[in-house]
Amino acid sequence: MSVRKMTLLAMMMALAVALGYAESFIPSFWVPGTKPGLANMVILLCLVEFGFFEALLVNLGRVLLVGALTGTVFQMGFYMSAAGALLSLIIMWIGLRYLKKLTLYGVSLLGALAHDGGQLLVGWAFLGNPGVFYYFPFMALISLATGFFVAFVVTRIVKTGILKRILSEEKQNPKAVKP
Amino acid sequence: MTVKDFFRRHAYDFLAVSSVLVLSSAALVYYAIPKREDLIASVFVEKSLLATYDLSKETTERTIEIEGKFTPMTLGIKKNAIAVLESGCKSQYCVHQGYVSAANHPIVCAYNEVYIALSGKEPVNSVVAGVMVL
Amino acid sequence: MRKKTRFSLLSAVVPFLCSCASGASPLSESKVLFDTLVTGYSNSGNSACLDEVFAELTEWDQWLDAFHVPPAGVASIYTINHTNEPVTVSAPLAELLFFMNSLPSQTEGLFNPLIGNLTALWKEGLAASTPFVPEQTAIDAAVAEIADTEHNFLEINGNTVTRHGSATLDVGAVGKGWVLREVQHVFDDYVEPDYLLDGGSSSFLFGEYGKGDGTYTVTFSDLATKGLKLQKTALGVSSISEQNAVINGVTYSHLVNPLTGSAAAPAVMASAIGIDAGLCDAMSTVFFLAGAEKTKAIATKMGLGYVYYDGTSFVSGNGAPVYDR
Repeated sequence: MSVRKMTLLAMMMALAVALGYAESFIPSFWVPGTKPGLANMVILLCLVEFGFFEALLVNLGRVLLVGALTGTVFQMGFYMSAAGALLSLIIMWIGLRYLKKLTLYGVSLLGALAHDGGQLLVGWAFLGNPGVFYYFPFMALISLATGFFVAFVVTRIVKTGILKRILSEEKQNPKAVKP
Repeated sequence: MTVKDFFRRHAYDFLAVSSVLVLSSAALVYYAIPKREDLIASVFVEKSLLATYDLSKETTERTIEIEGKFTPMTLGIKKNAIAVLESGCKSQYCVHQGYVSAANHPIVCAYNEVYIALSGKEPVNSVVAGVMVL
Repeated sequence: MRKKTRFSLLSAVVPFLCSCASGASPLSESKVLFDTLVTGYSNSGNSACLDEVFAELTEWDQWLDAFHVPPAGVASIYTINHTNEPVTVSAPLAELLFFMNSLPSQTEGLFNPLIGNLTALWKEGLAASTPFVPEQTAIDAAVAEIADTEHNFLEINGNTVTRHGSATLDVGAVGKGWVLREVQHVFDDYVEPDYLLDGGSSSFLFGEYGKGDGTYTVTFSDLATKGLKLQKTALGVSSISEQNAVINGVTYSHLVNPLTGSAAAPAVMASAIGIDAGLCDAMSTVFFLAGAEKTKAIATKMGLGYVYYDGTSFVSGNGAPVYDR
């Protein structure tokens, strides 16, 4: 991994942490744990631009650091967040790699649903009752909106090609790089 | 891009969205159907059953104090309904739910690892004769 | 549709199915009626059916109330007991009173509808903070009043009821059972076979239980060794555990013998089993007072199953489905 790439990934992780931490102050809707998924924009962007391994690094780093910042490390909420993040990443990777007919919007929706599913699975494991899946329809509907929003932003960023340009081995003319 | 191209390009996205929309809406409609049923509330803390309440036999509203994993909680119980009235958790999701009176609709406090399960009662097939109940 | 898409869709459905796992739940409703707790169970959760049952039961509660002034336009037992003038009652109430009027001749006088003053006398004594036996002179006067059928009788012409004399009506021995009989049709109308109506734990109506052999299990608070398995039938139970007082070593119950005026309990528990809940309720009282031999005779004549327990011996017959616990 080049220094440039490592630096970029570190910045992505910082951004994901900042967004994740900021999100923690936004009150959830009636259903526990529903958030706008701002940090997932960074994860999806990493997945699209860099690949699974890089996205996994950023994702896990984000989960750990947000957990540390909010003081919820190794509590049930932390594990739910981690499981959701991991499952979401895996499903989005599968979607990008194998479900070519889906655009980023579809992949993002799948990721959001997988995130919900992962959280509820951990909830089931901790609480010992699959009845937590009662909340899934509510979370799924909210995922439609959050998934769309995440995909919308990521699509716009990907279209600019900025990350590819930053990573490019060519010498960059600073004036030519468009923000 | 024409409209036709747009829909062709996003056909499977729309399929995914509509599937989620239809299934979620169907589930929510099912939840919304009012059902009168006799309920039993089982309160679990850290996966252990703490108490069971036959909500169909409650005649007045009352409160019960329990110990969650990290903080105490206050439950409210009335005929065929239960609620978390107070909890020391940060998010207060459990409290915001209010009184729940539908079977299979759980109340969860993730912070305190408290799970309140509501289930319908078993069919009655036995009685005791000769005891005056009033 | 491609396999991958089909698989994805199917996997998406699973969490939704988990969230919707639920079927019809049993439902019960309880209400204090006829001075006791009446509970109805609909094991298929038919709330509309139970609502209608209790609406009818509530109407009957007004008609059978002997202690409170009824609402305007309602003629009740209280109305009849407070006048010797003709009273126009509802047709169902008139039918009950006609039925009660027919029972003394079929039960050798052990059932008498005009036992109101006698039961009130005993109720006052047994319900006191220190229970006492009423004065024998008062008891004898009440018995004489009942026996004087020339002056004390109930005249029923259609829906018009006239109480002659000073003896008053008491429907307690048959009211609950009769009412259960009257509301049974609601379950048939709603095609709800799996139901159970519990009238104060002394009168019951059983449908057909939806599982196993279709029977409901009845156990007795006074008898630990026997039970009944019943379906599509009614049960009337009279027992000392409902209300009793022990005075000078003698157990007195709320069941008073109209012939002797005594409330000393000759039995612990007696039950009648049959199709008609009203008849079963009335006959359980008669069996309680009649003793084992007469119980068998009357039950056979009426085509009822019976159970009789006097504290030492237990007898049953006429097909009563008894089982050992």
